[in-house]
Amino acid sequence: MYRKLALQNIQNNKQYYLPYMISCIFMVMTFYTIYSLAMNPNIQEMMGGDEMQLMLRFGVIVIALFSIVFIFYINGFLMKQRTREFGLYNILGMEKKHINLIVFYETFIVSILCLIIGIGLGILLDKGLYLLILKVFSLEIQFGFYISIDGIYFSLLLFGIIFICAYLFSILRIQILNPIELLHQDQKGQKEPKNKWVFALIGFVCLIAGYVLSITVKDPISAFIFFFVAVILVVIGTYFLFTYGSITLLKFLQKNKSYYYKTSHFINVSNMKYRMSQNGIGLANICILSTMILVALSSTVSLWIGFKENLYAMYPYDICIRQYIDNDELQNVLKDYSKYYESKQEVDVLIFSAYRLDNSFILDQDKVDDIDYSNLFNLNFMDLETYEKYTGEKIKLDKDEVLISEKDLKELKIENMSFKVKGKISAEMKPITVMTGLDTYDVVVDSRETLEALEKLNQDYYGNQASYIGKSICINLKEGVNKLEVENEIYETLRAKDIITSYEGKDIAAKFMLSIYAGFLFIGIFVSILFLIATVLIMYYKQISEGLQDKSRFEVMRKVGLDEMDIKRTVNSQVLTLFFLPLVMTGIHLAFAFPMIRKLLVLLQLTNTNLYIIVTCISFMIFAMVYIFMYIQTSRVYYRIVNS
Amino acid sequence: MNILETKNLKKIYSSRFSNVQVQALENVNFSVEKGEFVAIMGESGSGKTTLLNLLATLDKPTSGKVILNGKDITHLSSKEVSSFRRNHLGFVFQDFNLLDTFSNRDNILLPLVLNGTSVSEMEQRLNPIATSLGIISLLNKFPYEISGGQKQRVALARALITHPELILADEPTGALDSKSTKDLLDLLTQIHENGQTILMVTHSTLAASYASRVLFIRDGVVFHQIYKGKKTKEEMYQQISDTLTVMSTGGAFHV
Repeated sequence: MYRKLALQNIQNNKQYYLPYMISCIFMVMTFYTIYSLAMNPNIQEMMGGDEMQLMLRFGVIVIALFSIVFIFYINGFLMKQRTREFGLYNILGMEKKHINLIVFYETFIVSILCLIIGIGLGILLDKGLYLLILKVFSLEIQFGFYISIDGIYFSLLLFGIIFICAYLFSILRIQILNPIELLHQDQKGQKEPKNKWVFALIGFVCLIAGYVLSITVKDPISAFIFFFVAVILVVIGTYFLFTYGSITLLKFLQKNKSYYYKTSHFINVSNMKYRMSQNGIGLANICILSTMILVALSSTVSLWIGFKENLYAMYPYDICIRQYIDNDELQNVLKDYSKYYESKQEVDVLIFSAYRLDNSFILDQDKVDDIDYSNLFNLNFMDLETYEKYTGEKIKLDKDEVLISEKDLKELKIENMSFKVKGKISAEMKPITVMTGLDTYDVVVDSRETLEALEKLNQDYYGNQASYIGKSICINLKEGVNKLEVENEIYETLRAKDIITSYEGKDIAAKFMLSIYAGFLFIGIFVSILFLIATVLIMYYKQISEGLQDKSRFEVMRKVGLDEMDIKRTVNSQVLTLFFLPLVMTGIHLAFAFPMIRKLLVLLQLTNTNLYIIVTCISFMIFAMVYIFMYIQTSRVYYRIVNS
Repeated sequence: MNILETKNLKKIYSSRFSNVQVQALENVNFSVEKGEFVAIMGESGSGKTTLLNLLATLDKPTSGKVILNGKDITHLSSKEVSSFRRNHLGFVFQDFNLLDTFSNRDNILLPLVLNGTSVSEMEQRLNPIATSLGIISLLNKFPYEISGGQKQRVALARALITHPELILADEPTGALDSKSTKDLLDLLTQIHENGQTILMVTHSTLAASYASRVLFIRDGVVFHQIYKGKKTKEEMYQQISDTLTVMSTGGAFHV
C-alpha cells in the first residue's frame, strides 16, 4: 500500500520530481563518465594520457562535491514544499513511521531510477568521449566497450550514500514537526526582514576589495597566489549584498515617502523586500554559479584555441638540446639523424636570469623589494666569434660593447659590469631559446673572456644554482618527416647513453599540452553544464515556490481593487528584476575578474589577450541567451500558478 | 434616496464539464437607502455569498441589474470594475485579507496608493479614521503581530479610507471571539451613525441585531425582512431568532 502511495506521490508531484530526477541522472552520468575516463587503462597508455587523467581525476572530485551540495539543497526544497502533505497524512491517522516508510519508498524509487539510467547513459557517453579522444589524438579506433566496474561501484557508492543521507535528513525534518505545524508551516507569517546595514556594508567592502585585488595584481605569480583570496572576497560580497544589501536599499526606498507611495513602487518595494530576504541566497547562488560557468568555459576554450599559437611561441625549434660538457658521443648520435635536418644551429651560450630595473639587471634578488615577475628576464650570452660564424657579418666590438636583441636599450648594466649597446642582433641569428616561460634577451659580447667573466659573475651570485657556459643545439626537421617519431628516437637514444642536460622536442611537448588542455576542456565543459543545470533548477524551483506565495497575495489585491493590468505590470517588473540582477552582477564580476584571469592564463602560456576577450564575450552572450530562454520557460510556470 | 437597488437579479452556475446547473439566485429584488445599515441573513447555500459577490462586482449576474448610485454596475468593463471597486466600495472580509508584506499603515493606505493620492492627503485621511477605530498604536506593526480583532479594525480602516458610498462586509465577525465581535459591531454602529451606508452578510443573529434592517434570503429569493425601527437590540435579537426558527421549520412568510 505504501509503495503504491509513494509511486502516486511521485507522479502527483511531477513538477517537482521530474527536474530533480533529470539533474540527478545527469550528475550520476557525468560522475561515471569522468571517473571511467580518468581510470581507463587505454588512455593511460597513450602519450600524455597521464596528464589528461590527472586533470580528469581532479574533475571527479569537483563533480562529487558539487553533487553532494546540490542534491541536499534540492531535497531540502522538495521536503519543504511537501510538509503540508505530510501534515495531512499525520492528521488522517498515519504515524510518523508510516510517513517515513512512504518517504523511504519515494527516495528508493527515485534513487534506483536515477542510478540505473544515469550509469546506463554514462556508459554510452563514456564510449562516445573515448572515441572522440582517440580521434583528437589521431589514434586507431578500437572496437568493443570498456565498462568501468570501479566506476559503477563508486557511482553507486557515492550517490547511494548521498541519497541515504538526504533521506535521513528528510526523516529528521518530519520528526521534529508536530501535525499542526506540518499543516501550517507553509503559511506561517513571515517576519519583516531586519535591516542589517552593517552586513550590507561588509558585503560592499568585501566586493570592492576583491575587485581592487584583481585590478591591481601585477604579475602571474601573485595573481595565482591572490586568486583564491579575491574569489572568496567576491563570494562573501555577493552573498551579503544580495541578502542584506538589497534589504537595506529597499528599506531606504521605503523611507522616502514620495517615492514609496506611488502605485508602481508601493507593491514592488514591499514585495521585493520579502522576496529578497527569502531569495537573496538563491540569487547569489545563481550569480556565483553563472560566474563560475563563464570563467571555466571561457578560459578552457581560450586555452584550447590558443594552443597552437602558444606552441610556436614557446618552441621556435623542433628540437632544443642544452649540454654543458662537450661530448663526442652526442655529436655522433646527432650526426646519425642529420639526413632529417632542415637546419642546425650550435652555439656556446651562457644563460642566466636577472631582474630588470630600468637599464640595469640585478642578480641579487633580495635587493628588490616588490618583485614584479614580469620584469624577470633570461639573458642569453654568446661571444662575437660564434655570432660571426652564423651570420657571416664582420663586426668590431670593444671590450665594453655588446649587441643585443632588445632595440630600445642603449646601455646594459649587470650588477657591477656595464656595457654600451653598439647595435641590434641581425635577423640572421635565430634566437637561442630554452623554454622557461620568461622573456629572453640575446646578447653578443666581444670575446670568450668576457663570457667567462659573466659566468664568474653569475656564480658569485647564484652559488650552486649558477649556470655554466654550454652548448645550445637547435634543430629544425625537414617537412614530411615524422617529427614526433624522430624527436622521440633521438631522445631515447641520448637518454640511454645518459648524455644530455636538457632535451626538448616540440611535437613531444605538443602531445603533452594537447592532452592537458583536452582534459581542461572536458572538465570545463562538463562543469559548466553541471552548473548550468543547477542554475536552471534553482530558478525553476524558485518560480514555483514564489508563485504559490504570490498567488494569495495578488488574490487579495485583486479584491481590494488592483486591476489585471496593474497585476501583470507588477508581476513583470518583479520577475524581471529578479531575473536581471544575477545576470548583470555576473557581467560585472566577469569584467573585474578579467585582469586577474588574464594573468593566470599567462602562467598557462596563453598570452593572446584578444582571444580571451572574444571567447569570454561569446560565452557570455551564449550564456545570456540560454539563461533568457530558461527564464522564459520557468516564468511560464510562475504565471500559470499566479493566474490560476 | 436609494443608494443601491437590485432588479430581478439571477445567477446560474453551470459547470464546464457537465450539464448540471445550479441556480444560486432566482430573483432578488431589494434596495438600500443612503445611511442604512442592512444585514442579509440566510443559511449556508442560501445564496448570500453569491449576492455579495455580485454587489461587489467580483462576479456578473446571469440576468438582472445592480444599480449603485443610479448606475448599472453589471456592465462595467473589467478595467472600470477595479477602479469602481476602489472608489465606491469598501470591503471587510471574514479572513481580513490583509497583506503580510505591508505594515498596517500601508495596508490601510493601499487603495489610496492605487488611486494615486498624494502623500499629504493620505496622512490627512488616515489620522481621523485610525483615531476613531483606536488603532493609532498599531499602524507601524505588521498584520502577523496583532490579534484578530485588531486585524479586522485595520481592515475596516482600509475599507473606510476611500470614503466609499457603500461598505460591504462579508461575515466580518466570523473569525472573531465574542469580545472582539462586540467591539467591532459597536464600531460598525458608530460608523453607521456617522452616516455611512453598510451592507453586511452574516449568519450571526447577534451581528444582525445591530443592523437597522435585516433581509432574509432562502433558496435564492428575498424571503422576509425586519425593520429595527424603535426596537432595542434585545428585542431585535429575539425577533430575528424567531424568524430563523420559522424559516428553518418551513413556514411561509412573504415580503
